[in-house]
Amino acid sequence: MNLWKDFSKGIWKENPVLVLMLGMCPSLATTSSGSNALGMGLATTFVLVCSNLAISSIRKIVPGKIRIPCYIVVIAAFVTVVDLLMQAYTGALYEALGIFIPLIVVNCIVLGRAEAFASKHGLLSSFMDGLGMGCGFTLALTIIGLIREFLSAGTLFNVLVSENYPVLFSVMGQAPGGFMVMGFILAGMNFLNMRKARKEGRDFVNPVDMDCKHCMICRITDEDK
Amino acid sequence: MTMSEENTVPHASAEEKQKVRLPETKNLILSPSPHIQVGPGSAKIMCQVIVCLIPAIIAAFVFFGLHALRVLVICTASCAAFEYLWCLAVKRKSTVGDFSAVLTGLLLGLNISSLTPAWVCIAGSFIAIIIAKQVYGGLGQNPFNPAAVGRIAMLMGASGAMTQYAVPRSVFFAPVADALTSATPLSMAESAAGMGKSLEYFNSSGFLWRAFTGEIAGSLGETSVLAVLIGGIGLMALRLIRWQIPVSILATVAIFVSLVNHFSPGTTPGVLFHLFTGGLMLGAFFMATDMVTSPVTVKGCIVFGVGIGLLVCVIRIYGSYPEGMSFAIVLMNALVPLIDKFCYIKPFGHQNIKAGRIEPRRGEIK
Amino acid sequence: MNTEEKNVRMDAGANGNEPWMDVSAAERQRQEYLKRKQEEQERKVTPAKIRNIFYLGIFLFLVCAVAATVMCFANGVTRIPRRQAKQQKLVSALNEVLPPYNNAILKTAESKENPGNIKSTLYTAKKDGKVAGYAVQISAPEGYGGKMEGLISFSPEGRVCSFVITEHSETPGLGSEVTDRKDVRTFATLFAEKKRKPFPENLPPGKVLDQFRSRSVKTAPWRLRTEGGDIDGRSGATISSKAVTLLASRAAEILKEKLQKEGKIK
Repeated sequence: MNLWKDFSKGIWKENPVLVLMLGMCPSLATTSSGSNALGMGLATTFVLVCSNLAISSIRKIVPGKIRIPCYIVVIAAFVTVVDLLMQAYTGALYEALGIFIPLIVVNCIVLGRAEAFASKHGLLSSFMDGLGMGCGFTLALTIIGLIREFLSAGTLFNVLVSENYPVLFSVMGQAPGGFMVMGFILAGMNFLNMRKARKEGRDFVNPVDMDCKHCMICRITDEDK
Repeated sequence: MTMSEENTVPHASAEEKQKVRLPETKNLILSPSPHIQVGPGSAKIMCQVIVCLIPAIIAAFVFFGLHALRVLVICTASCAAFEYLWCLAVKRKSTVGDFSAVLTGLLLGLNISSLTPAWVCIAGSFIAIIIAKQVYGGLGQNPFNPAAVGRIAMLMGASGAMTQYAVPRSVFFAPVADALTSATPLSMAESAAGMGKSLEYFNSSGFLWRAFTGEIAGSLGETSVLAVLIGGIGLMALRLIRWQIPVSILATVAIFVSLVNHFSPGTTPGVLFHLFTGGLMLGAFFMATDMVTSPVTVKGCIVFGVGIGLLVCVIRIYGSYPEGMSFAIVLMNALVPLIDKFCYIKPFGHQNIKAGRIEPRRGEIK
Repeated sequence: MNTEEKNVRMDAGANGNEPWMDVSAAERQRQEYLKRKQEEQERKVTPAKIRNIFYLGIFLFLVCAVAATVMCFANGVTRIPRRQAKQQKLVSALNEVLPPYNNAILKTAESKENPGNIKSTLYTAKKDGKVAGYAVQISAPEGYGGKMEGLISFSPEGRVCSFVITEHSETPGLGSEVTDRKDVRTFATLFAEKKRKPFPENLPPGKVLDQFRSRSVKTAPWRLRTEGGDIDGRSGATISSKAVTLLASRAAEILKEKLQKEGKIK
């Protein structure tokens, strides 16, 4: 049951893009179309699961003071190896996802989950957390990507919705459109959460300890192990 | 335990209070609200500005026919509708009655071509009202001019539809598809200069006269310099705008263009061409002078106007867009808080306090 | 609790009856003092600390060394398969733009360095010993989003057959309309059988790219209509259209030079 919780929190309650605000750069830059967003999401999920497993398995032998550099080295090496292997053996997949793989090394969400979750939990929990966060990331990105693609080109996953559809607002496919769609989705999500909280008679709070403000990465000296 | 330090700061003793000379109480007029408001409210100001826009609207109707009215009506109606819907959605008292949305819609309509499709107008109105104004908190809170933001979004979003300009007097009742289209003089001049052709035509008195009266291709409200000038003088006479802003914009453009013409002839047509074409006049009189998004002080207004003038010239002459009035206005709007900070008026008797080390309080560890 | 700390507390207690000195302020001061003390302690260098730093450094070095070894190993193992995959990609692109051929096309590559630091490669396709077509791979740095790379094929007489942009970073929806050949499908025809037209119309349509078809290299360099040529660019994406035109013109010049050298055209 606990494992299910580890998995499901990433999808809505602690969605990395829409609640924790992690990985903003790829979620704005690669969501110009649904298929791009899906590709980025899947590639990130893959790396996230594997890096969570790797970090979780070495969490007991890494000294606290240098854990961040160690995590970065592990993740970067891991991603490079995956990149090389994909280039060599899975041509079609690399065509589709290849350009996103190098971007993932510096993706905040991978390091964020490594620090906030995988370094404190066991292998199985970390695996479920990575999978859940990855699914939530993919879901959020794909939704943003589909909205932007429909508004800017009238297509969904490169398939035209109807012939002679005139409303093509191409700015939605560019950076400003990404911010606008993201803003409206965030506003809508907060609205839903607030209404739910009001119905249950409690105050609405974002989950603390997990968002960027409370993440321990930037406070290395505070918590030396 | 949790008493804050502010509450426990030692107060001056009664003797010290005596030393401070306070004005006589009977000379001070203090009263609780309500206060009587003096001067026009925002609805009255907006209506006056709309009245000043009437010459430009008439000119648009004369040159571009019913299509001009179609675009203006769609923009105005959808702006007002979006304002109403937003107020409904956030459960606020409706602010349609202050006419600011109507004015934004009119300005937006005057800033685009008569052949703009209806959905582009509606999308631009949405961005102008909801994203550029209401998201920030409504009238008075918006950092950018809503009409300029709307126009930029339309230009970037639907550049194909937004760069179709009708030849003046070519259509009156006929459908959009039958209209003769033409490039604006600014883009014609830019491509001519790019190809190294002669720019004589753009400096000829015949062309300049047509540009002054408005018989050139372009956005609805910006072609007729004459009509905009009449409205602008009206605005100044009614003291609705600071004259420093339009004057400094136009002067900067004139000086910059004549300098460019002097040092590298052939890059761009003359001063009068730049003053009479594009959205310069409309922007200078009606959009840059927006009370919310322009600086407070006179000095600030001049800095603001010079900045807009420089940006317009740089975008027109060296940039890839032929016209840059709305970009310039929005860019300078972003700088208005900074301008206000550096151009504030010093209070009478103001002295600079030297920044010194503040002595630690008694009981603190040094 | 050492003496200094005690003194602070005493001090705070002594002044505690003054109205502006409440307990929370004293507590804050004590914490600040302790923090300062701790910082001083941290600044002191002790042998234990030096040992710790060495340990950390060696640990980090080991982690990096292991990571580097793994990466070296992966790089070595995948070198040959990666090269093959890259060539496969190029060959499949060449197959799309060229008519049927049966020679080893990658061996015919003639690389060249052009002015402006632009590299180009010319491939010759042969069928049964006879030239079936040429393909030029070349880049143009003039794109709106930077460099774009294209593959353009010619008939043996030097007429353009097919033109694709293989790599670009143009604005989606604006510049990419010029560079991308997009197959427009709708949901109605999603599962319908796709008919492939015979060469050279086998690729999806591209409005600007198709205008170069069957132009002879003798008419190069080509220009946009706004610059006095006869290629219609896309309005709103003039820079992308111009870059595409430059790329095609450059490729044509390269082929023209080769054909002139071989005496096939004047």
